Amino acid sequence: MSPPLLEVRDLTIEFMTDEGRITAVDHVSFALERGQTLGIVGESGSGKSVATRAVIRLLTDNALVGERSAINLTRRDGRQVDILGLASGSSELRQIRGGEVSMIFQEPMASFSPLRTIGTHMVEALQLHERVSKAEATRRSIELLERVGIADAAGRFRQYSFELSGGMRQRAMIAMALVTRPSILIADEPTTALDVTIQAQILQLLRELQEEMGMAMIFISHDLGVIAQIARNVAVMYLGRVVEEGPTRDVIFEPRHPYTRGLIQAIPRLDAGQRRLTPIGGDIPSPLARPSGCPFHTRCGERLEGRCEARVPDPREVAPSHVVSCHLHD
Amino acid sequence: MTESHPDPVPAERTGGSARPDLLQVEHLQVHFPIRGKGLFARQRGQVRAVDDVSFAVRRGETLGLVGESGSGKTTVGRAILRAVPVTAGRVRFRGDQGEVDLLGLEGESLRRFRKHMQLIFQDPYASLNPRMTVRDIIAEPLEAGAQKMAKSEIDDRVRETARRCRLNLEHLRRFPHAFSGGQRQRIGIARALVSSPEFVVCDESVSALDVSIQADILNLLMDLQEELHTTYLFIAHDLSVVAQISTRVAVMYVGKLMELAPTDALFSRPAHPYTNALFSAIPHLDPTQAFEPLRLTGEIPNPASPPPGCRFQTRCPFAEDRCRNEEPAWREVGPDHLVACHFAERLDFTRRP
Repeated sequence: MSPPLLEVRDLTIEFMTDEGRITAVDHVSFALERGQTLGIVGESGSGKSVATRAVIRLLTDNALVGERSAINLTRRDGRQVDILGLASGSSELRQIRGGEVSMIFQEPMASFSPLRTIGTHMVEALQLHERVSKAEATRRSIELLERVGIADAAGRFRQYSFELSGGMRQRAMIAMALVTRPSILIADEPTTALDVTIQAQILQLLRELQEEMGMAMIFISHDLGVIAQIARNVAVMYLGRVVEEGPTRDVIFEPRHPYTRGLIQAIPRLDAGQRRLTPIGGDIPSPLARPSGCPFHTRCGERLEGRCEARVPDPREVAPSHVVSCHLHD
Repeated sequence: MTESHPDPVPAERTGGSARPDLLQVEHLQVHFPIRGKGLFARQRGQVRAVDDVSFAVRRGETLGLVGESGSGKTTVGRAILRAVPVTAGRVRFRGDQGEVDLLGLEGESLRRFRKHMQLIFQDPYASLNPRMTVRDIIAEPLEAGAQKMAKSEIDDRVRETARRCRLNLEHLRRFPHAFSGGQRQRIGIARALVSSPEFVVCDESVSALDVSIQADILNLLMDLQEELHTTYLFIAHDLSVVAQISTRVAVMYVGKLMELAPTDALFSRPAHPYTNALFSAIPHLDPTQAFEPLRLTGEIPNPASPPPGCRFQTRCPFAEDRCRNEEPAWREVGPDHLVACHFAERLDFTRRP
């Protein structure tokens, strides 16, 4: 069996802060196959953004990565590299970042410099990763801007990001991320700041582009509805840990972890009627006061005394590819 | 718990048209000037943030107000609370004190009236003064009120309101930074309710919260309404949240109302193409249900230069010449169901349950 396109193994990330050491990601493992979409869903402090930023080594200086952590990428030429093992300024890391693995964010302004046009960004990105003439890079960039649904692409190519509307900017960011034809696109809440009709357009666009380009995608969101519509597989994160993962429909229809069940019950529904919702009791603990044992035990209604606060549950396969970390399934 | 509260105004989602109006908004307009640069720059145009909007809010109900960016939904709430200057229109408040012309209130009389209408903000972090204790934050609307209240009376009211909002007495001595997002929002709610307002505007009051916490705050708002018979105008961009809490729902688009109906009617039989498009755009939690959002062309128009005719005609798949030339009237097409579309009778957007 060939190795997966991306394999994150035993990823632990801590941050040194003035208030102490914070564990943002705690022994997280997942794999991504070619062309597949993995959704990562979680609330504040779940570590979903930090874990995926590590894949392109986009971490702040105070981050400490666990010694046994590995992020193995199968490169285009078939070689395996551990991204965490690359030197931070190395040419290989530069080739991977923005070349084979691209990222889009909630706030597109962060991806663009206000001093350069959309076109300059795209042409530079392309020329950094491929030997192409400026004319060829320009042609391909404009073509892609057209493909993502930007009217008057040649005109927009010469504009600055701040001259575009929110939805257009999001499209331009997607075009820029895809200009190098990456094998993996990491999308971190790319539609969260958008209006619902614009969000629907962007989700449709991402689904089409993924199919056309055959790329794999990691899609991060707090919105399980968005994940349900875009990702075949999902990992549910809570306080730095993956508590449940599996095929999206199995996880949504038959959630096995009390946190996943709680999350689904707490979501308001259009057709629900003015009924009371079922919130998860208590608050998300501060990262400075991480609970012992299972991170969810402080809010869990099915807590097993003496067990859940004492030991971190091991992941267990409860159905094909459906893995849960919960003592109820021991 | 199966305990039932005695409830003189049952909150059913079918609309409850028997209730009297608490608030009547007629032809409300809020236009903001656009000026050029410089101190004496001339006005270059205006943003028609709210453009001829009429609706009523009934006693004890929750009227949901949904819309996307630039719809003017927040400005409607602020205009009613007299937090932005109103260009034209009329707002009548028919509370326990009799009828009051809200836009006619000035100075001291406006200040005195404020305790009857309050606002719950979106961002619990930004809306609480970090230097004040929770007790002082909650007490502020009482202490700022026109008539003097004894400190012991204020303390009683603060404690009572805090208890209702599930804050304990220990919390009252602390400062807001010591609290989580959900707790801070409960503090914001307690502050809004301490003066026993008849009317509360909730502006994206749960939007910044995580889903698991959001559910708790929505429940709290519903419980408090049942106990105190408060009337809410619940403004949000998230349709599912609005559907959850609202008796009736109004839909705004680029400064105008598109549709207003009892929640169930609106969600099962939307009459306006925009409402229908909004619903179709919500990603469904069921991954086996095909996600086929209507493809709206283009972007939301800028309220500084709205299109002629119907505001939605530039993106509406059903638009005809009439839509580009003639603004649709705001009219009743079914029981308690108002819509602004020339072709509401002809279009059928009935949704399967």
